[in-house]
Amino acid sequence: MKLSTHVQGEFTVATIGEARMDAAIAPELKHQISQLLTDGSTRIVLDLSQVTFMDSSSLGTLVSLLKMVGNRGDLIIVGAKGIVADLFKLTRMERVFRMADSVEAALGAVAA
Amino acid sequence: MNILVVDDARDMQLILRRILTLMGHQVMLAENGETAWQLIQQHHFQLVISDWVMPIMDGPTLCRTVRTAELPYYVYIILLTGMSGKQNLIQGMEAGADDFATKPIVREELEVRLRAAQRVLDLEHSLEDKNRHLESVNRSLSAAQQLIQSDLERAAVLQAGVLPSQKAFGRIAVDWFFQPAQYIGGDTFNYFPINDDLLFFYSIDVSGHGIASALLSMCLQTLLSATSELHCLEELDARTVATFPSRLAERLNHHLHYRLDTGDHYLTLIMGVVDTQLEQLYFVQAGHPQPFLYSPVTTQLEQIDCTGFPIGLLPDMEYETIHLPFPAGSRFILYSDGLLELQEANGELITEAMLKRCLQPLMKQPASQVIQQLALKLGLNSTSTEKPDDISLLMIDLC
Repeated sequence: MKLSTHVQGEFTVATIGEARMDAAIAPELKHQISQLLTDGSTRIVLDLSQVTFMDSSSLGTLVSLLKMVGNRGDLIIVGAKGIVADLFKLTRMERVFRMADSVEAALGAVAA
Repeated sequence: MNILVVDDARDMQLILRRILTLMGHQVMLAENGETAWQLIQQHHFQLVISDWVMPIMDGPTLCRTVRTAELPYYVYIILLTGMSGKQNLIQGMEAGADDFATKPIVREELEVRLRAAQRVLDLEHSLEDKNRHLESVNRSLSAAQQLIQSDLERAAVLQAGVLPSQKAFGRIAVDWFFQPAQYIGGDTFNYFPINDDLLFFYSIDVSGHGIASALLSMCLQTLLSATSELHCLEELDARTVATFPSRLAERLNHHLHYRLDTGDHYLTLIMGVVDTQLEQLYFVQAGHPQPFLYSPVTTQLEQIDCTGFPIGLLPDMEYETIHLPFPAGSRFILYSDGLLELQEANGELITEAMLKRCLQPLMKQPASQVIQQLALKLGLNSTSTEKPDDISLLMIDLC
């Protein structure tokens, strides 16, 4: 799975470089993001702008990561569009996750 | 080592036998390549020391004969040569020789060459051992895989066996399509009458597809059966049925969180009740694809805009019951998102809009024919295309 990370202020921006988020990459995504949390990066912006398809197992993984973050940090989802955004809406996960259109919008909203 | 000395000169044979025997090896003799090859087939020699030029069959030909025979163990071959020059070495190596020694034989040199031979043979031996071990592991794995495969084939029959077979309940007619992505899947559904007026139904998609998902879907069949404790909590009537689907969803969500460890698995569903007396439809949507409702009044198929939290993902979620009129001639169509993961011929994913366009002109036909034609249009029955996810479709008609 392609995942690139960089630090921007207090946040670690993790960008998923895959078009398809499915059962094939969900376990690796969980492992890598939970590793970030273990290493002390608890404020995470997850950029999904390159993702064009997400299945139920990936959504389950995102929720379990959100539970892992809990009260000690943030997991902000940015760049969800098309059927990925539809999936968040259909499952009301847009009410559970903090969501933003872009990394800049997410960081701006946190700063404001 | 068991060593075969091949030389047409009797004195050379004897000198070599003496040197090698003194080193502690067992030695046999042959006077040309052909006799040597016969002996090699009868005995297990680790090492062959062969002269180059001999009558009947020369050293390089013997080398090639041994190599092409692909014996089950490795034979190390040293060619003896009085000739010098690179060309001869290349010929010998091409024939499959491992090493060369020049005549006259010097004992110390031969000792060193034999130690090198022993090292190579030891390596070959350990490789043979490892290969034998891998082959046996491979055989056990194949056997285990075959067992799992036959178990899965059996499980698929059982899973399909729990799906409802009755398709008519008074004024209600039901039909369905079910196809797991692999042998077994996480999709399931059921429907059964609660009393003379009420028909309970659900369509479930457990996240993922495979053994764990399939077992959870079987578990849900039991949890939502007519006799389960989730159901038996209350007597349903025309009044209480209006909120029953959302209450049942909340109870199921609670059960999955606090009673059943589902790991990372959760489910989406649509679950509800048709009241045939009052011609009403009540259902709860928990993250499942938005269903279609055909209205006999407008003769239009509409997608019902509804959203809801999946079950088993987060605790203590609230659900709402959607309430719609369901007059005679109405049709309610539920499906899992596996249908939307299929690709059109151009590689694009099938959209809900496209599904609606496919279904709309078929709405005057009985459910069984609609399913047949839809399956044909979307290539559902073709075994050549791999389905990325389980597919289920449920149609409920009020006549």
